Amino acid sequence: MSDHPYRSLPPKAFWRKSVAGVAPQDVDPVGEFTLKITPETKVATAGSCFAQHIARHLKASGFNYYVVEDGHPLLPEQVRNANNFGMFSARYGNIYTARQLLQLFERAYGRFEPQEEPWTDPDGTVRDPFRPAVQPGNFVSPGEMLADRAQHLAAVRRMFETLDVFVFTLGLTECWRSRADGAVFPLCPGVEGGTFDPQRHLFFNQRFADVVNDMRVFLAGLRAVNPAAQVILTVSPVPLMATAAPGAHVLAATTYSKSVLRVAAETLRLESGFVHYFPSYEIITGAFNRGRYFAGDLRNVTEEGVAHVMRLFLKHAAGEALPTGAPAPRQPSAAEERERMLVEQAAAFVEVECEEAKLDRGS
Amino acid sequence: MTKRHVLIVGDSHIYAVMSALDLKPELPSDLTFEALRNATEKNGTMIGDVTVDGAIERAAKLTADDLVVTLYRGNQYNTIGLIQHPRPFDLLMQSVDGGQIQPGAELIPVQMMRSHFAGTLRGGYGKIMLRIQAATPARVACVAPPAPKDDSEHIIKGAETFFRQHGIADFGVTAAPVRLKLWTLQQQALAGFCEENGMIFLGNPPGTRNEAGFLRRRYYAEDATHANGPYGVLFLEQIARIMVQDAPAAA
Repeated sequence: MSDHPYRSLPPKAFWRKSVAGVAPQDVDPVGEFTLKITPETKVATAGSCFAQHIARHLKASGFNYYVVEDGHPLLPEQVRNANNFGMFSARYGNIYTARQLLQLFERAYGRFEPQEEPWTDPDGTVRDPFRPAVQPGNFVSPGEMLADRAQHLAAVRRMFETLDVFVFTLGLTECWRSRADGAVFPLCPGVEGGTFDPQRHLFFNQRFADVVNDMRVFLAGLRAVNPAAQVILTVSPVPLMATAAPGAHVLAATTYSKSVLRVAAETLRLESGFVHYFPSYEIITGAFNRGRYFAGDLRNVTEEGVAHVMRLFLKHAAGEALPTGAPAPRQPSAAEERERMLVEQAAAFVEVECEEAKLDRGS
Repeated sequence: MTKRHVLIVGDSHIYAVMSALDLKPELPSDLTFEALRNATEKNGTMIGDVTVDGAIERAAKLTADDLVVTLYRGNQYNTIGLIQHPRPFDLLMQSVDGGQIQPGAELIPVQMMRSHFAGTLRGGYGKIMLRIQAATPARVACVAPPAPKDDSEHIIKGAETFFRQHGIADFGVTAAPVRLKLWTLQQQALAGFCEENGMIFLGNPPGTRNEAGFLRRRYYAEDATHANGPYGVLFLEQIARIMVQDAPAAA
């Protein structure tokens, strides 16, 4: 019997041995993943909705989920979370496309200033067109929105310059952009604030070359400000909510979008040693789980599916750094501890027992 | 003629009212006023005049011509913001200081702070007010705390135990405009709560704030956050005006 290359391959290279013949919960489609993270590694996240799960689990696992824009500690964590602080490493909301990520980077460094004006709701409150849902109740004025944006972009710069690992979940290829300057929006104007105007807004479905080129520019920019940064790319398994591609069916449009993103991720991984791919897309969408990782709407991912992804992520990325289960939480610094005490003090909502006020009585 | 009763219950800001009553101001003779300090435990000792349940019991005995006035948790904004935070913060509010932000301060979105005040009110001390309202045939009013003081030296000098214990001497006092914004948001939350629940909202008595919106010095109590007896007199007159306006028609 002649020898051939397949004889020496590991089980993971064979469908029967690693997919069809394995219990669904044991399927591990991770190919090469050389990056290791420790509890000290500063891991920042961004991307589409699915990236929120990654952020949540990283935090819960005791890793250094790196949040540079955490909201003022004067307010309890619950309030900050409700205002979308901590959902991602900075308060940028969902970043669905490669173009959106690139433009965020360019805006943070002052190389791109979109012409789009703040969006004003009928009640007079104001939204940031590039984070239209980030502030519940919106901003109270254009001035406040712009000040918050400036603060946010400063945090974004700080994040890119100081992170160790950037996890980016590629979500979509479809987006809407400004005819004036090409600025892309996370949501079509008019859906959640703003007004759609065909004279000003244009549908844009990124092609493979668009995605790869945008990501290349972004990656080069990131390494320019942070030469040691490592990047993990994932593709969101969440299908499109709707497609605006002319004549398209949403299922076919989803396949197109995810295919482009998957190929782009692989291309980028192969050409840059600091770019890694993690197959969360395959774990959720793989036929081995017979669709059970999707909720009843066939879009949202179940907690079981997310847990499978994160179990493998921690196994491969954390490796020996995980002694037994989750690593110990990072110890807070003295300054963080002092802040924590102040937060607790405020959060405790003590009624100030101002008995000294009695002193004024009769004065 | 049956006198109409005004029952005033609340936390530490009630001392200004008590001081005012001690001053025996001229008030309509058909009104009686009673001010009771909410009972609470401090250093293992109960202080105050009446528990929440006791206040509810008293309120239940009133008539529809009477009034219950509540002054609960007026110092929440000071608890949050009197002491300078190690991460200086500010809010951008055009109506307060023309939209200024303290140099180097971290911006906190107004809606976020607003939701915090509204949340702690609805989920916390607002429940006391609702229980009182449910128990009494009288109308219920909520009172905004006195505006903040703009004199940091006075605040440091007169800081109450709570603030001293939490290091006001070391950390310093939060910039006055920031405190004014917090106070504004707290009273807006209270006003919104009153509107939602059919209660009367009472802002600061007219003339008690200076041009910039702070408590006028002549109404300062000696401590960092409270108003004094003369302020309390204006407050009682404010209530009296409401009672006179809404007096039942003569038989």
